[in-house]
Amino acid sequence: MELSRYTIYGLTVKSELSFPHWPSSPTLATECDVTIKFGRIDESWNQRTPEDTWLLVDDQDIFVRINDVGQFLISRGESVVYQPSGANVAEAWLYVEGVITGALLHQRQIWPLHASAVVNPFGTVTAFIGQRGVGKSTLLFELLRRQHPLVADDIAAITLDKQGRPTVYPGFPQGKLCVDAAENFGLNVAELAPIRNPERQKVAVPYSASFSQIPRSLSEVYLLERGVGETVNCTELKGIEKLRQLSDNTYRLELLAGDKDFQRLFRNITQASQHVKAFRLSRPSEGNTVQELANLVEQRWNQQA
Amino acid sequence: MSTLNNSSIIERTNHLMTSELDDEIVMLNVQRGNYYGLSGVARRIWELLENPQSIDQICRSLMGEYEVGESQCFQDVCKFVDQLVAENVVRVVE
Repeated sequence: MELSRYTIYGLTVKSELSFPHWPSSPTLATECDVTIKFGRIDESWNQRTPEDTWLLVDDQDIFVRINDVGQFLISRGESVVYQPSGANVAEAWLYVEGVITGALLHQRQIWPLHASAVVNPFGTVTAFIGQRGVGKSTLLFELLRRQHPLVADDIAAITLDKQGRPTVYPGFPQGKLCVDAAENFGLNVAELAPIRNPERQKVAVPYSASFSQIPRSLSEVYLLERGVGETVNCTELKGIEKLRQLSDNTYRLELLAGDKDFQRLFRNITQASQHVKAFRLSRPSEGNTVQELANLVEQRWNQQA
Repeated sequence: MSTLNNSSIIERTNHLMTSELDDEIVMLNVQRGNYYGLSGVARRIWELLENPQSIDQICRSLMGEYEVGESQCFQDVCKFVDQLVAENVVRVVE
């Protein structure tokens, strides 16, 4: 089967599954970091995974079972085997660039932050974290419209240098926007690929025009929250509160194999926190405030300049 | 009610990873996966526990550094140490 070559999150990926929106790998070298192939997964994985769950993690492997899509086995941060089954196998790509990528990054000891991220005017990265549905991707889209380049939507992959300074590796030029936000932005939703989602219907939006492929320092993180006030506002997070938010918003902690992995992650996040500013960005509980949020973020950038 | 007295010796357990961040000491309880942040006097008490200390030793150090009376200091230290014991990050050795 033909293998396509891509670069996402700083990794060279050879894949039998096709991802037309992933950047193709520029190198002709035969080495690669990750291979994604169709194949058979030993039935023992399926049997060992309890009925009411979808995930089994051990030291070297992560097994993921998605109803109507199939099974995935992710090993040593290097290989993904996909055994398709069910009515929705066409959705496999969605899981690969979500939970499967998160699993690969955790296995490679790269810190996956559940975040949307842009390049700020200083050439470093501003990341937005917060609970599902709080509006990270919508704010991201507004900032892209204002000409701030895309780094990643949903997962930001972060490595630390010897001094603990964090670098963000860009994902791929696509975002996932809820349908109502897409309509508010005047996008033609009928032309976009729908994404099935039990909570909110989303669509895949191509962002190729504004994607930055260069790894950059992470300098600030905004925790986006629904507040109680009438206006948007911003306060700095420090110490344990900053650490807690960065840790809690790490992509799927359940993918970690055990205490040792959690301790390593804690150490990394603590180190990275020394170099990153964090803010709580509150939006009112009601209404569309994406313009105000983007204004506030841009104002803060202008004040720093 | 606290079972601690002036001669109780307190020592740290090995269940913690600690680090400094923004004037706080942040800790992960490795056993339980809980985080704590210590600042101000709590941070100072934690630093004093670098080596095992009696409640009396802790109180005398604090009274030299902060404006606090003896009985208040004893009460506050015992209350804080009890919390640390409950979280299993320190233990009473005698």
